[in-house]
Amino acid sequence: MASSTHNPAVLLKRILSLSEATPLLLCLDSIPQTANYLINEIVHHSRNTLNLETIFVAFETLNKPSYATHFIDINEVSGGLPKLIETLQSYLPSPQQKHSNKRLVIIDSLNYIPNDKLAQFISAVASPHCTLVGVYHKDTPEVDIPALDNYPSSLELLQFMATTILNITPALPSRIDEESLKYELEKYSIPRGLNNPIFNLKLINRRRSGRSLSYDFQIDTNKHLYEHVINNPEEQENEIETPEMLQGLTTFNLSTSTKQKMAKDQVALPFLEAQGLESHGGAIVYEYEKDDDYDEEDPYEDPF
Amino acid sequence: MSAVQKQDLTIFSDQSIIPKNLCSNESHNVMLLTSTAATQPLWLINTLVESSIYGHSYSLNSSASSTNTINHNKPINPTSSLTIASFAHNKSFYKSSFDRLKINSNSYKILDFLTDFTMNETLGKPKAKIFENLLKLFPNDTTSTIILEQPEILFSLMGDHLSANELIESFLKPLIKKCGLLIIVTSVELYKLDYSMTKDVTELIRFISFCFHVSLTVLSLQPLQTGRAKDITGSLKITRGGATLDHLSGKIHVIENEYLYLNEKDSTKLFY
Amino acid sequence: MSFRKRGEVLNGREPTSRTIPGREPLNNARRIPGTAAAANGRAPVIRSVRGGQTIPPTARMANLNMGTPQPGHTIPKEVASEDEEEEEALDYINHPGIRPSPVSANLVTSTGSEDLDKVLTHLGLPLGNSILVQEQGTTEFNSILCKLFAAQGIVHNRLDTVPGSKSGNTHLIVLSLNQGFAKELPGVYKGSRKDVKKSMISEEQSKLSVQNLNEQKATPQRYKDFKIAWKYKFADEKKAGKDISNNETEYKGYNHQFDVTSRMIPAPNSSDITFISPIQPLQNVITQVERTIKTHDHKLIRIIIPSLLHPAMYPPKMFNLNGIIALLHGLRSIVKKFESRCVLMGTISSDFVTPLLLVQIENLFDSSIKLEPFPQEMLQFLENVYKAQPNKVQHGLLHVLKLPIFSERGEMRVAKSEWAFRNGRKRFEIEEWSIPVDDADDDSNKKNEQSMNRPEDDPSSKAKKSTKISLEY
Repeated sequence: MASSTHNPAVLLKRILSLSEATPLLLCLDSIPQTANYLINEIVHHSRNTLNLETIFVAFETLNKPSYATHFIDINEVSGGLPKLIETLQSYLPSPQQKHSNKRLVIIDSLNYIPNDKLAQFISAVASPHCTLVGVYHKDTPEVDIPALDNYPSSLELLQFMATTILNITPALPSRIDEESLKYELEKYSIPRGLNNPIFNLKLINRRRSGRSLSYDFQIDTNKHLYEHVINNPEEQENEIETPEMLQGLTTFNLSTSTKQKMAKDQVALPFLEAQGLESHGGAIVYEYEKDDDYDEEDPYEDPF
Repeated sequence: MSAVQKQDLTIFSDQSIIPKNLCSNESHNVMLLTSTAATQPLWLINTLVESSIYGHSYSLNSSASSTNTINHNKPINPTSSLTIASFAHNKSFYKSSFDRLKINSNSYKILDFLTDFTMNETLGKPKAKIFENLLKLFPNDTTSTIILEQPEILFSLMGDHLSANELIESFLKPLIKKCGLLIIVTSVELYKLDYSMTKDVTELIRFISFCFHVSLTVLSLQPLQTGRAKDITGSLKITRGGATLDHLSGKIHVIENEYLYLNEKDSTKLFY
Repeated sequence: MSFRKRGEVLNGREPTSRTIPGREPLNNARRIPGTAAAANGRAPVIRSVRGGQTIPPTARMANLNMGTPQPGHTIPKEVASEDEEEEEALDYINHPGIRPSPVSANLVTSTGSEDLDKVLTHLGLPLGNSILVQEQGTTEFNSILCKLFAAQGIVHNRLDTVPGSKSGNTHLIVLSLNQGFAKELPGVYKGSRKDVKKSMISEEQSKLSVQNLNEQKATPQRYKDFKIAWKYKFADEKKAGKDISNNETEYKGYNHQFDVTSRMIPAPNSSDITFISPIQPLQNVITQVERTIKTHDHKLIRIIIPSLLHPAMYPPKMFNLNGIIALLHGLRSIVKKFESRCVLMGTISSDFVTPLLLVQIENLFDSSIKLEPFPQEMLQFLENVYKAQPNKVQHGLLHVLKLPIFSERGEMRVAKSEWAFRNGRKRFEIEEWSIPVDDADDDSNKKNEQSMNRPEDDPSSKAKKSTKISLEY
């Protein structure tokens, strides 16, 4: 039970400060909440790491962020993806250099890499010495490659390859719910109060042991606060009645034994019978008992 | 209507529509203006053009007749230029609109990508050449503003299939690099959700999603959900876009807001 | 109503005067604010109204009546050509098919359907603008509008043309492979059969029938007059001080009524219509359209695209964005390039076009309306309600999606389910839509709802129910 004693917030902090060995850190974002704040958070935590070189590969970002050691604008790399990999690798340590500086490669965003080149690209860049932080917009549709019908989608590929997945969802203001957000976004109208410094995050961390940990957080990037949110399934679990919960509430014995429980479960409730009577919606089910005084001759006697 | 308090339009926290320092440093910025067929954006384009040239919008909230009496101040930044390029409207459309606002015709340049565009620019030419020719028409000036209307029409005008990636890489991003502020005007009606997710739909959505992600702010014009009303044309919603303003000095941010507006007889009034 | 005609006679000191009965008072009204002659103009009008009763129509007026039993819609060719034969250039003032918009500073031309003109609020389609007529389902109401639009152009052209001469004032460009389109165009409505007979019997009697018609049409006529009054304000601003005689007679040949069961005689020929195949390479289509426009300089050009993307005519690859949208972009470019003398109407059945393609198409038109024909059940219900007046049964709803000029400016002009249309023999009528009340029914709302969902066999039972209720009354 190591995971339960483990403090989830500490784990998240370790991941954001790149102390955990994660070659591919996948940030899934969407239009209502983009990954910018999370990237800033990673930069905030990792800047204390000695000799960290940050390489920013920009498909979307227009201006060089202040923290980037190298800024690769994809438009200035002529020659497409192979050239990009080459450029990137020139900044990365060769496998021979054992104790080199740590590298952080931020890619914004992986959506622009064609599906059939993605796996190759990731494996060419990500290594134990280099953490690849890849942003992927999960709400952007992917170009279908007709020749690759059975190949997994980019999102599936990335989720499979990533050692850590940070799934970002907006912290919705109270006046909008998921449903109305979806409806608004379908009309390409973004409700107010999104793309906030405060957002929700689902962390999935794959341990070397093969286990996978999953936690929900609410992140406040202004104050660098991470609040672990207990997710709903657990709450429901707690609501299941246990004998201990009823102990000591009153002097009465409220708990039920296993035998009593079984007997209770076997009682057929009256409405179950009614459900069996299909298409007789409002019929009155009346069974005569032996004491009933019923006169067949009397038309008004009929209870129906 | 006179009882209703008119509101000034502010988009950024320094009370401006377009902050002065947005185009003055080396940064490149994008704003997105989305409209629908029922609520078309001419008045807001006018407002943005005025703000870009004069630092203030004179036409907004004034009645059509009173604009004539206003003497415009000098342009806030005489060296910066404004270029408006449209795939949906011709030169005279914007010319007459700006003339009505008494905007000095030296302070803007109109690129007409409608008139004879297919005949002269796209037919029988490779994509790379088309983009190269188009880009040449825009000035290379990082203090300038470019307004680009309905670039998505380019998807339909290329002889062979144009992907969103190509449009972004070969046209939009180079264009952004040429100016300080690119305002992309697009009709979101055009992406009307088509669940079939054909190739065209995918490319269009990829394009608009790029626009959302690179924009500092999204200005969205929409009709009322309840339909037509006599005293309200629609709503203007200002929301944060996907890009941050971290690179800008002065710590400004986008003020999210939702206005109602009434557009009639060539004048537009803004209120809550 | 007859005093108007007599007023016209009094004002007949202007030799070119061709005023229509229904419009006369406003022509005077127009003069009041507009010109220096206003003060003088007022007095004669009043006098004409009072004293006019006894003045018999001149022979010329009788002539007019014979040719056009429907007041305000047509002028006989001979009269029309009298003044205008000298002028060959497209002259907005003398072009019978062009008038100023009452609501904006634009010049407009009729779509061929007076009611559609009204729905567009400009009393026509502004020059340099385009309209898209969409239609749901497999019905063909859009083709009626298309033919009316074409026929109107040809009638304008012929109003001006001296027989035998090649010049005209209007030219049609039809983007279609179907050359038969020209032969399917409706002829001008000649009045009801009774009227036609009467006019043949004697001129005097035909004059009477005109009066009858006038009385019938009293309300719409007056309604129209108000709109025109509006317009004069604009007209005055535009060309203050210009000669009155032209303004007086300006809109007489503006729109016509067509009888869809008849055919236009003589059938339009190459001097009226140019056919261009829309499925040639884009370059050829655009070049040909542009060349045709240039050949017919000084003419109003009406471009028509009937049944856009009809699968029988358009090959599958035209359904690609770079097929149809590129074509429409090119055509939009042309319409705007020649915006002083060019209009475009396209029609499309929206059912076999994907939503994406449809909005892309709509985006390239300045205005757009959508016809939604009623389903069978609704028609049956309406027939039942209007048992006594079968000509009141509407055929469907008309939704306005975009209006020319206004929508572009940013005004919200969507009007869904506000109009209903009815296609009759002599008119494509558009009227405000309201669910009719079944007088036999005391709870009409409930009933309407029922009727919408009612299976086909039900009308009989409904009829029974109605009788029962009426008995209770």
